[in-house]
Amino acid sequence: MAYIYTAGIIQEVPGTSEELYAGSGAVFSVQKLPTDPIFYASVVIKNIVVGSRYLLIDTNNDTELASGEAVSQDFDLENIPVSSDPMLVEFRVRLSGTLLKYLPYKSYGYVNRNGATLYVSQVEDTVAT
Amino acid sequence: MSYLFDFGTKLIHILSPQTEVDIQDLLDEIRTQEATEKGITYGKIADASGKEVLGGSVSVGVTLELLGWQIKFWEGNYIAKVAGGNLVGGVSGDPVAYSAGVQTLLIQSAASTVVQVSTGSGLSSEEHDQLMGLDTDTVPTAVWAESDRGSKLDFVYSIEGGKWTIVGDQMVFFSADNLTEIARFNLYDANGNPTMANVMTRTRI
Repeated sequence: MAYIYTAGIIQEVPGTSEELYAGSGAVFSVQKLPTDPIFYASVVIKNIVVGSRYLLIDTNNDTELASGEAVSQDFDLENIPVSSDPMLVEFRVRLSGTLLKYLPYKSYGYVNRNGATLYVSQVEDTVAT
Repeated sequence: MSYLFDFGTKLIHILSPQTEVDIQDLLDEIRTQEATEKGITYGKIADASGKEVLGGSVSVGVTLELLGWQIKFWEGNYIAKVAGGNLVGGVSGDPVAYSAGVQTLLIQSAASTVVQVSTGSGLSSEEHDQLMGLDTDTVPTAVWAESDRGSKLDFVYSIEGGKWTIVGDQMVFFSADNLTEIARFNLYDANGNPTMANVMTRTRI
């Protein structure tokens, strides 16, 4: 059974396959929840100190987008859900090692359909030991 | 040193039996906690400055500023001490939260320095000779005589560190063992009558 959508009414078309046809003046739309991402993008992290703990936050709603521990100086955070275009994100980095400690680092960036690149510039904490 | 960080209440609990906080030690622990999986989800706990080298082994003292956090000693009758640098900030400019029974000695300095000593006393031989050459026989009148100094300091230490109790219209002080009585005072009200409540005057007996 097929259906035809025209003038705001869905009608059955007997003896046809299960497809939906648009008649004159029909409008199809995809509905989504406000919490659904509008797309996914990659965020590239550069120059982070290996071993640092990081946290990526959507500043619109303070939700965590990604977190972890850096295993290399540069890496990509893939499939970051984007809730607005552009989306302002906060990137926090902390590292407190036994030999070296760094000041808590925080920066911001905009993520759009092309993603974003965040360059990290941590400063060694010379007061803490 | 043992600390318990409560991120919800922004309190750094000093756990028993620790009664002294070293600023450097506290800062190191704060940086460690900020970098934990939980700590990174919260803002910075403190800023710190200092340690600029002034020449030789002398450097500027550390000032630790708590950003809306406070330290809180465990409850009990004792004198807590915060030393090794300046502790500022906190809530309404108070870096130490109230703990029942605890008197906190906050040692601050507008020009604190840190002297690094690798071995010995840290004095040069010239400074040593100068120190040893001081006239120790002349005691200023405002200072207790050397012979009395020990006992008077012991008395002050005992007053601050031992048990206090009010009984039979008298206040009794004990030394730090809470057993040895060191002083007893008669208590009087505003009309000079012996009392245990609304005390206006005490007289040592």
